Amino acid sequence: MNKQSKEKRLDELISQTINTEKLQFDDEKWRQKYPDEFQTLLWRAAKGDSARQPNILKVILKSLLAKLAAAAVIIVAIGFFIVHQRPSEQADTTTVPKVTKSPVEMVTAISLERAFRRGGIEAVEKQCEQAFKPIGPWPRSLSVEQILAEFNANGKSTERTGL
Amino acid sequence: MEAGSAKILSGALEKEKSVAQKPDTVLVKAAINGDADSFTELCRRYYPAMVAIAHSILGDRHLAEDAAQQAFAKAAVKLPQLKKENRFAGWLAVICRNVAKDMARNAENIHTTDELSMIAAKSGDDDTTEAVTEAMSRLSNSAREVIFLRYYDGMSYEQISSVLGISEQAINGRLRRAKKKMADYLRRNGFGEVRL
Repeated sequence: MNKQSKEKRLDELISQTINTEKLQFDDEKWRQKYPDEFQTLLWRAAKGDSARQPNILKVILKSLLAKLAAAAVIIVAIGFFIVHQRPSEQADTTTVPKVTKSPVEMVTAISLERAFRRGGIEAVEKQCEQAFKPIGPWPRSLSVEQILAEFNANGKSTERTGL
Repeated sequence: MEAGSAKILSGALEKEKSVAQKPDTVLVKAAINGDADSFTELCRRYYPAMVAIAHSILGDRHLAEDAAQQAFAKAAVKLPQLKKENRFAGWLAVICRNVAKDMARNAENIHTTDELSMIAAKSGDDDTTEAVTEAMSRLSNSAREVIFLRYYDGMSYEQISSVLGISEQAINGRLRRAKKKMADYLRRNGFGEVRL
């Protein structure tokens, strides 16, 4: 017995052993046996397209353009978030008062005299307050007149000493 | 009246014929959208293959038919989860395999050599058939599955390939190795040159 005929014989034996009656799927019987599953199938038809909602992530990953658009949206969203995350800090940075003169310059005799001419004692007081604000609180017991007197005294002494 | 019913019947037959000609991917898409006819056609197409897979695990044809039907029921529910329509057969085979294994576990129906021998005896065959059954039972699950698919309904390599998701060459190799093992077993057990 050659190899081919041996193989053929084995094929026959396997076919005989495995019961090879013709198989037929009985759909009616299946529907009766599994009514819930069949209803689930039909329910999808009744629901229509909404039964299978498109997976947004899948749609985005399919197209390069959609990927770029999604990336752009994410970048804009992050930027928007950063800008609007700390509005108080942003406000602080924009309202920093612009100092035109140093405190020393603001309390010189000439500067105070100019302020007095401009708006009287109130203007002098305001200028002093502005001058001392950056360097901390100044004693309330000391009046502006006293400060001015001290300034004048210093002025006279400098005249006397010739400085 | 008779003419009307004949028209309806011919219409239904026409529809069935047109559905039968459609490729798997079209039928799967339609079934996902709830087309019962398309799903039924898919069941018809893959029923023998699913029974063969289940039979290779359970060792009983009637149980295998139950397992295949249960696999279709599960597939009907899970169909929207199928990601690639062209992988339907392989996906269904996985479901069927799991159903059959569960059935075997639950009912302790995993066939032993003795049980398979009983199946052979029931079918009224001689000792050669019994020996072939014994030889099959000694194969690995995957090898036995290929044997069943090939000889159950005379499936082509292409069909087996779509169900198992492996190449035709791989199927050919698996089938050859399985048959060689069976032949060796039969030879060792006295079914030599003359009888084989």
